[in-house]
Amino acid sequence: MTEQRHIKINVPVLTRVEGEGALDIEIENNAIKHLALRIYEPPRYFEKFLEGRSHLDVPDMVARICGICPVAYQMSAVKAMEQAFDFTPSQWTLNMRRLMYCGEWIQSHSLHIHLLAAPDFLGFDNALAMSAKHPQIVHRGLRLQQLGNDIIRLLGGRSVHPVGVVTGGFHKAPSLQAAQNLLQQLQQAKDDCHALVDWTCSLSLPNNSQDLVSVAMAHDDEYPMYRGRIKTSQGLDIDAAEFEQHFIEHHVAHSTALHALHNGKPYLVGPLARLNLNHELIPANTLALIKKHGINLPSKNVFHSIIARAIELQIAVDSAIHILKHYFVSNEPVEKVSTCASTGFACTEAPRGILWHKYTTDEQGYISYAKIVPPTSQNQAQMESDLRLSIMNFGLHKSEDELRHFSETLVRNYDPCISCATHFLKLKVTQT
Amino acid sequence: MIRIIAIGSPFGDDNISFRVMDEIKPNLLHKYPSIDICYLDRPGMQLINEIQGTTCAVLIDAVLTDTAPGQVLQLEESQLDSKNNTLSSHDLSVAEAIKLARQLDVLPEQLAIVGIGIQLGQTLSNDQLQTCSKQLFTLLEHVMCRAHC
Repeated sequence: MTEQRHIKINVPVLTRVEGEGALDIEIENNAIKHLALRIYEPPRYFEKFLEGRSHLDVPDMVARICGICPVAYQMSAVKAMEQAFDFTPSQWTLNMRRLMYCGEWIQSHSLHIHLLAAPDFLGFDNALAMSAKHPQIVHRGLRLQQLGNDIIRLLGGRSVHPVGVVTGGFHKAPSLQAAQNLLQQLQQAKDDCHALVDWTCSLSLPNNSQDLVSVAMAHDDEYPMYRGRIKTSQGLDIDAAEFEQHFIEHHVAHSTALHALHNGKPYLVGPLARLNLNHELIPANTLALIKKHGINLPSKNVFHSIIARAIELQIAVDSAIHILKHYFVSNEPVEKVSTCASTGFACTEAPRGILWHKYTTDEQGYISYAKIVPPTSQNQAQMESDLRLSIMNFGLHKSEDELRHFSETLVRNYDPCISCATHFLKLKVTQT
Repeated sequence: MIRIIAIGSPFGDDNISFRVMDEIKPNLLHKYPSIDICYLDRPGMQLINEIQGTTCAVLIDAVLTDTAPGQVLQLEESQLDSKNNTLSSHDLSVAEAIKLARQLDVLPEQLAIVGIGIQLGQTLSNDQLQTCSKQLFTLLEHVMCRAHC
């Protein structure tokens, strides 16, 4: 006779998160009866705050949306507003924007890999416990994080909520000496990056292979950060202006965060989606390294996201080195932008995936309408879908502790802002 | 190297360490020209990088107290609240950062933790700010003395 089993995993409040969230999973008679990743981010009204503000205020305001990826918000904002004003930034500005984005990817990815994800895969409760046995892992994470922060500081004046970005360019061009110092640091980090990719490939990662719709930007000349078109693994290839026609946001009852669907289905954004759509652009030696570990791209295993982050971190370091080798101090770091009444759209690749902005402006460049679609909300539906599938595959017969740990690991693997608190689940079990 | 780190935020009640440091910075640098002073806006993990490599670090942060706003308190590490202990990359507390730094063996020989009492919603008056600044300056003089600065 089959044992009757009723498990409720209920977390009413996920603490220490950007926004607030909860996870409910109810298992009854070997089937998932209910599953909801409840995100109830308090209304922040950023889009409304922007209304009536000058385009010059926007980059500093949107930087406040996220403490980990402020650069991404600044980049999508200036790109959209410059498109509205029909302004084309200089090559120097484009290079510096990519460089700054490299800094954000490096700091964000290094922290997630070493502090949030690694303890899950090495069997520790948190990074503090892990650091006792693997201090070199945490040291490497700190070194790389510092490097990323230094890049952001070079162009933004400070690493958290930087202030250097403006429509038309940057408020100030870094000195040649500062750029050269940073170049030296980046070159010294290359060994760390190679070791990081090798190490993430050697981790014992669960296999939750599934049919994935990957959505990311793509560009012929470079691994996408700032430039490129939006593409999907199903063949869609669109400009940012067409985003709303293909990606539909909607409310769900259990979450104040908007879910997003493409063709009525969840989709994946973020490092693995980017890598899946742009793996031809990764360096040959990196490709050889991951193949040596038996990892092939594109990957359908979302747990390969940690490897994707490591590869992207290496790409970001290489890209930053390339840019800084050719650095010169621009006499005109910010160019004059002529404002007009218009609407602009832009998408860039935040560390966690595509970040889409839309702005309508008046003739003086004041914002009359703003819409921002962040990557975390786009991944909500995918995370729920993944949880359903992966928990089934993992085995509903497993103990509550095992199910909880697996669920936590899976959610953290997406690196959503809501998982910024590690080990956030408190298990409430009801067995019948 | 001796580094004095004001931790907080440019905005709200959590800006007290920034405000006080602004007050005493000129005199501090005049008396101790070799020290390094920095302001960190909710540094999280960054705090570890900032104290690593120093011989003496002084952390100054706002603390919620029931005592008079502006009171300067030298704290022990054990007095810091790190009950969450989640080690999130997005919101690592000062206490957690110190714990991790200790675990990684990168704490300086001398670490001083200074709290400045605040009560939410009660901004320090100019008189209170001046009193607080003097108290902090005196405390830092003692720390510098111990650090043979």
